[in-house]
Amino acid sequence: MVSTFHGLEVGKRGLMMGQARIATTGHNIANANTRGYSRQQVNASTSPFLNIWTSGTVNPGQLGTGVSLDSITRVRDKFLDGKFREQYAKLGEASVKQETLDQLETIINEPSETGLSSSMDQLWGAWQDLANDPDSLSAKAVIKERAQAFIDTAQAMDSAMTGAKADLDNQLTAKIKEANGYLEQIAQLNDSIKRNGTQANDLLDKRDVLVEELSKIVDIKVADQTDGTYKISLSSGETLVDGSAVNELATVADSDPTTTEVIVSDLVGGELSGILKSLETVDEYQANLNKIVNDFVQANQMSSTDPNVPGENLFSGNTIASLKVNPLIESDSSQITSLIPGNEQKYKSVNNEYRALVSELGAESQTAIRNVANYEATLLATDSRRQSITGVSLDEEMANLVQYQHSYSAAARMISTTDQMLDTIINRMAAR
Amino acid sequence: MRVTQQMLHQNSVRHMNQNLSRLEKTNNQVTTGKQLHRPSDDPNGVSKAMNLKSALVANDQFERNTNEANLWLDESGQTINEMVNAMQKVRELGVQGDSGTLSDSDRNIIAIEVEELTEQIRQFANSKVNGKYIFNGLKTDEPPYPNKNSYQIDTFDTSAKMFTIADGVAVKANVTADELFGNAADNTNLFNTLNLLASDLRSGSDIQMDQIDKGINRMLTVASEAGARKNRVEGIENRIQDSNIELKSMLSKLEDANYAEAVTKLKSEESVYQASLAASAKIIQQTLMDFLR
Repeated sequence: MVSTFHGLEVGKRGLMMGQARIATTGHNIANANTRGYSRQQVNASTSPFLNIWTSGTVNPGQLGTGVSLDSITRVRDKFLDGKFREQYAKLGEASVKQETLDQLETIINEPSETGLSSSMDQLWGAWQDLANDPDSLSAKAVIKERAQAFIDTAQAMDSAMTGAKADLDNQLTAKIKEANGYLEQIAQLNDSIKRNGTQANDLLDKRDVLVEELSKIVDIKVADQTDGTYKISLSSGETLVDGSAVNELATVADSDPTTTEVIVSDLVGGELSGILKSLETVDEYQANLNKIVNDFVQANQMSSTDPNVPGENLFSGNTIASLKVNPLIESDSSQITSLIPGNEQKYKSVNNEYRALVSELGAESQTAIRNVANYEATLLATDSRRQSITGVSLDEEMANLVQYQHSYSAAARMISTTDQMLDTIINRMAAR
Repeated sequence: MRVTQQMLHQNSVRHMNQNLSRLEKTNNQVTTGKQLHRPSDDPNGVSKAMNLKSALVANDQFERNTNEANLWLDESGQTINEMVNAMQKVRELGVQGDSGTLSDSDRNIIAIEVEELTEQIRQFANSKVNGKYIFNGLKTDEPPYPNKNSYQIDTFDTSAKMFTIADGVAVKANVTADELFGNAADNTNLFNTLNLLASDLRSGSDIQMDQIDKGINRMLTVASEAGARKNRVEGIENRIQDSNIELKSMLSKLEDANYAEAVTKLKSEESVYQASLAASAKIIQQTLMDFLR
């Protein structure tokens, strides 16, 4: 036979379980909107049984002793976590590239009435007016002004591109700093988790949020280790975090021999690689623009009064930054003579070059916009699938709460029933 | 699939955002009237639009050039007409002076009249358009015949004044003094003929009518050439205007928003956005809590 107080013990275990479940439900509800929170569940099993005598069989009967609380775990899908991080890195890279191309489109400012194309057309028109009336001082003055307008437009574009590169450089530094901050915190959490055990749910959530943020900046591989810590390395193999040890990211090697760095190359993926590639892109467009401007300058060679001497050019300088109206003309626009014959073709080919640049940029930017949209869609799909597993559903928690409340009440009733039983035995049987 | 409040919330926000951004894009098209704003809207279209714009600017220039060429040819033609009229009078005077019945003083008077007409023709030869001497080649700031005897040596410029009136098409818009009057070395030089006529009248020698006729014929030939060139310029001018209309309509097709379509789209995007707002408002606030006790 079992102990007299067995019923009280069973009831108490039910109460405690009810309490743990209600508390966990409360924790879930409270964190329904916490970023990176994964819902927690109480895992229970029946507590060890007691063998008791039963008639009718040689085997003993097994009397239940109630419930026992095994663990409180978070509901999480490692596979989807990995997928999410992988896609987040792709989106990070694509977004930075798209933003840069968007900025370049704004700088190029086409189609417009004020862009480089229209200033080239206007200068061509001014040359034609001069051809109609070769001695006209006003036509010459117009050419000088149009030339200055072209220079202003080209230089504004060029310096905006230089500005864009400086911005990207700043972003690079800021992103590396951000990533290093995450690495530091992840290492600290690794340490805490190692000390608090592998069921430190809330710490695990916090660490996963940080790992996700890191994955947007660089493409990483995450390995679970037996002590609960993560080993994080770049997709190219270099270790960033191993337990509480950190290798920081850097653009150049540090002179301090006590620290180690991983030098950022274009293999890192994520936003960092987006920034590095964007720097190359802006450089390319700036070089192309420089070439176009240089070709345009060639198209503005003037004829000389002496056919054996090459004439002056309307412009001087061969880079955008050094471009000027020829000082000879700047001080005296009557020095402008006609264009050398055949320049119409040069003008046309520069126009074509520039148009090609604009449509190349347009196509590249269009592709980038589509890429971002696609990566965003896949990331959202993965996130939805993950949310569907780990997210808190308030309806579900409410339903659970009602269910747990009832079982708590029932467990309490179990205790009062046992109490009545004991009352019968102790008070009624004794009071004779 | 398990659905959570956060998912609902995230998706609602995402959809509202997407709808609002489409609404914004359509609104942009309606308010600016343009469907191309940046190269990525349509890379090929933008490149085409830029090309058309350059062609339009070039056409504007060609149009200005044809106007200028027309002006020169018109003025030259009219001046030549005046000169031909003067020469007809000279011819009449020549015929009059050729009859043997005239007295010396009569012939003298006729000679003076011829000299007057000669001066008149010289002045026509020094005609200006917009302050430019039209019969002096490219030296338009100097008169071809600054004084009575200038015809005796060729001081004038015989260069062609060209106007570019279409891609790679240049037309000569001037008539030069040598074409009209002949070189100094040429004994049929008009001023030479006229001077000879005056002295023949005075001396009572035979009048060389064929020389006068040759002079008139040369002027008429030059005038008809100028007329033919003017026709050609006008033809090209019409073509430029036609092509302008064509280019503008192509540009408009590429660049301009179709209002009917854009406004309809705006309306429909608006209702889609409103629907997404209404749906989100309905779904986000509901939980089981509303129905529990």
